[in-house]
Amino acid sequence: MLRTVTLLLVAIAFCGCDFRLFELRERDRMPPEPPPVGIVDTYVPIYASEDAEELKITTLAARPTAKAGKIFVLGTRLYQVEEDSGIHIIDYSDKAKPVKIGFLNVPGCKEVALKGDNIYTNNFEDMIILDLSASPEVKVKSRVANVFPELRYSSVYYSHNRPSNVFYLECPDYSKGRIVRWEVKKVNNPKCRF
Amino acid sequence: MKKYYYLLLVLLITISCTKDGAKTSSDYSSGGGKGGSLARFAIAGNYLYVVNHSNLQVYDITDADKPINKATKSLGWDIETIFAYDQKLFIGSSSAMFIFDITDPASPKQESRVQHFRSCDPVVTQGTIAFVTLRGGSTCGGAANALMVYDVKDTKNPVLKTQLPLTRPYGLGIQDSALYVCDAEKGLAVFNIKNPEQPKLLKYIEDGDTYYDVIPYHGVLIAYVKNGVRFFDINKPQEPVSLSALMN
Repeated sequence: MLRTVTLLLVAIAFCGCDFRLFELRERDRMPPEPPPVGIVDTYVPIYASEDAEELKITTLAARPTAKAGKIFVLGTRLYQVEEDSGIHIIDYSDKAKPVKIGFLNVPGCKEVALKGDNIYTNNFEDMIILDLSASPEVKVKSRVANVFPELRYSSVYYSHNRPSNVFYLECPDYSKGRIVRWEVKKVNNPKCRF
Repeated sequence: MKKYYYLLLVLLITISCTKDGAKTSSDYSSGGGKGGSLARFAIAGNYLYVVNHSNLQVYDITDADKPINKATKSLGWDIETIFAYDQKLFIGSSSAMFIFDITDPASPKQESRVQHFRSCDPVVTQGTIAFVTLRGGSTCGGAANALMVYDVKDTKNPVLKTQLPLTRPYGLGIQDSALYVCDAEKGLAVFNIKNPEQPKLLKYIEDGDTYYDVIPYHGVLIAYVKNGVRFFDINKPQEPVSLSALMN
């Protein structure tokens, strides 16, 4: 038994594993880290209760892009993730003048792929398949729970367009509901960091 | 005699075209759609391959109302991207490139794992060559920023052929003899890959935008940039011409 544990510890020490997500939660319980850093750019969690309007999966009018994400193309339609909140639907029949024609509201969204009328994406940690055949109505055809466990808290860490110069977090309080996204704000002495 | 000469010419052109139009991730992934190299989903036939932070998961999506989990393979940590090409899956993690065989689509078989230094790394392939970008820096550890070129003729034993320096690369894409590499703030790098083992940098498209990923698709290059998307005409693959941008 002891040997197994030792082996495991050695393995962990050598694999160069990434425990940042774990670390982040661990840090929530830790006292503030001295020294104070003053007013700095900080990721601040934005919460929503589970029954909030913005957590619904639905089609909305086209909207501006704030945090552009991954893309998927099918025919003359381009789908671009709006990080943490959904998918822009873009018609580029005229390549010189692409236009947004709608927005799929999918909280926690990071991924997008299509096959026929089915959109494969994620709603936080769950993988979902959306049916676009009755567009603009959108139906959740199926849901597979916990395909992306690391996205449960709409992790800022996994956002690949995270500005590299922001290292601070306002410590999350999971009792306040879902973290729907993170916003960069000026915070005085944030208590958590990457 | 002249007639035969023409026939031969036509035949040659046909062959070379077929070769150029070799299956890419998505043509193969059916439905005619195509994702970028940073994707965590790859669709091949009736199967969906998903990589999360640590696993490869296989779903039978014949019935989209009821995806069936067929297999889950643990791959360690920091898995980033997946790319399907010609019965193979190329998976990029922050410390390695994995190649899986999906001749039996429900149960991918690992053929190799190439360790490299620690950084982020999408993979794309064409023919028997795999291109990988490595990005160092805060979120991915490591300090290297490079384009790595592997010969994957023997998928069980990939061989590193070339390593070229880059600034802060993300996604990449291939159209015929051109390789496009998104080098973030530096712009979009265009390489000549007529000799794929030795890519030659042709130029950088520097328009002040930050490039993250690209999809070459039916003569158009669609780029995911910081605030939206950009479109380029790539009918001459090595000379992309800007068509439009959709920001905000």
